[in-house]
Amino acid sequence: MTQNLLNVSELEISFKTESGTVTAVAGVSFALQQGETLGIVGESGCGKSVTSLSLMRLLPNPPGRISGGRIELNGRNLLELSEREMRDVRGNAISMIFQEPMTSLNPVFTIGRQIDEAILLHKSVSKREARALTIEILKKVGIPRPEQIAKDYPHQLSGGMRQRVMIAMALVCEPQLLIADEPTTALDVTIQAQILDLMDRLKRETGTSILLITHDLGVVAEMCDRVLVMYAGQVVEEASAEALFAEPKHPYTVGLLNSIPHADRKADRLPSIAGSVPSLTEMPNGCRFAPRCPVAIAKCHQQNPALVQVTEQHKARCWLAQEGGEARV
Amino acid sequence: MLVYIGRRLVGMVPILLVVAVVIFMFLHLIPGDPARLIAGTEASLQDVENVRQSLGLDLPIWKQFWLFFSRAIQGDFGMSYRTHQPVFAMISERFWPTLELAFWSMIWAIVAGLALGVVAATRRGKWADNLAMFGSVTGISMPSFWLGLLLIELFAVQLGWLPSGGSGGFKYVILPAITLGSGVAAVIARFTRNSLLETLREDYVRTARAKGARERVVVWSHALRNALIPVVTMTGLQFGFLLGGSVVVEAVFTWPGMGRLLIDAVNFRDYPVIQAEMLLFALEFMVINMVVDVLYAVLNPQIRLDR
Ligand SMILES: Nc1ncnc2c1ncn2[C@@H]1O[C@H](COP(=O)(O)OP(=O)(O)OP(=O)(O)O)[C@@H](O)[C@H]1O
Ligand code: SF4
Ligand SMILES: [Mg+2]
Repeated sequence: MTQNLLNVSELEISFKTESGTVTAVAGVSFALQQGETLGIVGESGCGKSVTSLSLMRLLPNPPGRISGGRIELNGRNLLELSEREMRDVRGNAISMIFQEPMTSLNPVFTIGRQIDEAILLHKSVSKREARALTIEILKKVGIPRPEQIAKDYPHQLSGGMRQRVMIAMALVCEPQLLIADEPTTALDVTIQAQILDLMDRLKRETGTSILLITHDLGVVAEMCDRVLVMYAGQVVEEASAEALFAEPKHPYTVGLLNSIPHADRKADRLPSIAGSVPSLTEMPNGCRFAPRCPVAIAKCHQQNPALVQVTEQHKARCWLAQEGGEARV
Repeated sequence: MLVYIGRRLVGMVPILLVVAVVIFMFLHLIPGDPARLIAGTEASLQDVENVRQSLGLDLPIWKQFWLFFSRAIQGDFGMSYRTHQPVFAMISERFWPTLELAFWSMIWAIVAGLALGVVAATRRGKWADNLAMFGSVTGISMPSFWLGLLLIELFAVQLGWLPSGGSGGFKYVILPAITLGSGVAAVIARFTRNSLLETLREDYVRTARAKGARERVVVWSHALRNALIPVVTMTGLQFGFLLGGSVVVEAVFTWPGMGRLLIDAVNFRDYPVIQAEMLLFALEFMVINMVVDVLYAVLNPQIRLDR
């Protein structure tokens, strides 16, 4: 049995706000294997970004805090590392690319200098060797004339190019895990496809695992091996990508799949489901989805179901699914 | 860049001309008659009139201006009414001490201001932040003559570490420089803190942390480089005010600079000296402005000067 690359268990994230401490992520658990691509989907505010940031221990603190759980990388609990040890992990074992390529690069430094920095932080090479590696990785991510581009400043590049640079910077130290938080949301459709292809190709070449956060179920279908569906700070369904699309078990997932417009499979944002997400300060006692669930039963309003294995491929947090009921509406 | 600087310098000429006209007009509008002051209280009307004629003050104002202007472009700013020395020589003697004082004040203001601002921003809401910002409010609101007297009392009179006034080596410039620079330091601290707090929230700062950079590098290199862009503009302006403020500080510390020369000149309605000094102030302002713009472009790669 191979050891999981990443094991997240019962992760809890809370934020101090004016109206008291709120729990933005409540007991999220998942595992990720070497070379696997795991997708996280869910509506805005369900906790995707804070979950991924906490893997790097980069939550803005204050107000955010990891208030419980374990994050194990190769069996080592990252939450117990010193800040110094954690710096060795960031950009080295785990790296991250973000949604906004326009603002994620530092405007006052050249592209080359920013990638060099990532290399020099983790490898004992000279500046010269670092620049050579930079040029090489830029070439690899499909940047034309890498020698020149390395001397350019971010504002001289298009959004798609900058996201390629971000990918280059993230992959230059050959991380075991790449976290991509909506890497294509800010880009044109054609550029989106190019970037996804690039990530897929590099993943195959390097064997890096990917944690892909997205609003776009089309992206999930194309890229992911397994999918985590989050709702209001909890995982409500976990399944292989095929199983999820073929046979969604949670009414929320069903809602997401149903509301994909047919003409344009690649909707930019998750289309809406009737009703709105409960606010963190007034979570329902029972199932968090109950107020919006079209098939809710009495029990749903009293008790929150646990995330349980319903089939071999599937975990779901739903009373109906546990009883083998039909989730389809 | 050099082309740009050259163009800016050429552009200053017409502005200086306008400034010269304005100064000239103002001088002749303010009350007080230099001829009477020079001739003395005992002088007869005829004596005063003679003095007036010898100074050329009886000519029509446009003719006076023309005389002043045509000599000025040859570097001749006339004779002081008071000391009867060439104005140019008087000013060049006083110019360097003032520049020296301004320079060290600015160094102090930048070093103290940046350090305080960064400390405050990175310890936001903690006691160090509160202390730094309290110090900054004090620095802004404390009149410089008073700060100067306090410093003299403490470091010159009580401790005897530094001279209380005059000029000589570096130790003479320390107290006046701190006095003159502290107000600016306070403004820089405040501005740096706010600007840095803003840039620390930027996405690229998160990117830098995600690379594994240490917090010191994230703050001092990634964030501060960006935060300084607006600070530079403000600092340039402050430097201009600092030149003005030096009049008071030079008086407190008996510093032999242009500030004291100006006070004497105004009291005596010494028109040639006032005119030359004001023109020099205007020129300094413009040069500072240019330096600020160049620095701004150096810090911000999105600005291209030669376009
Ligand atoms: N700085 C913050 N202060 C207070 N609460 C926060 C902060 N950042 C996030 N949260 C809380 O955490 C929850 C999850 O936010 P997160 O950014 O992870 O959502 P997301 O799933 O990534 O949404 P999106 O799809 O819009 O990116 C939010 O609902 C919000 O209440
Ligand atoms: S537990 Fe009940 S309310 Fe919640 S999703 Fe399932 S059916 Fe709907
Ligand atoms: Mg997000």
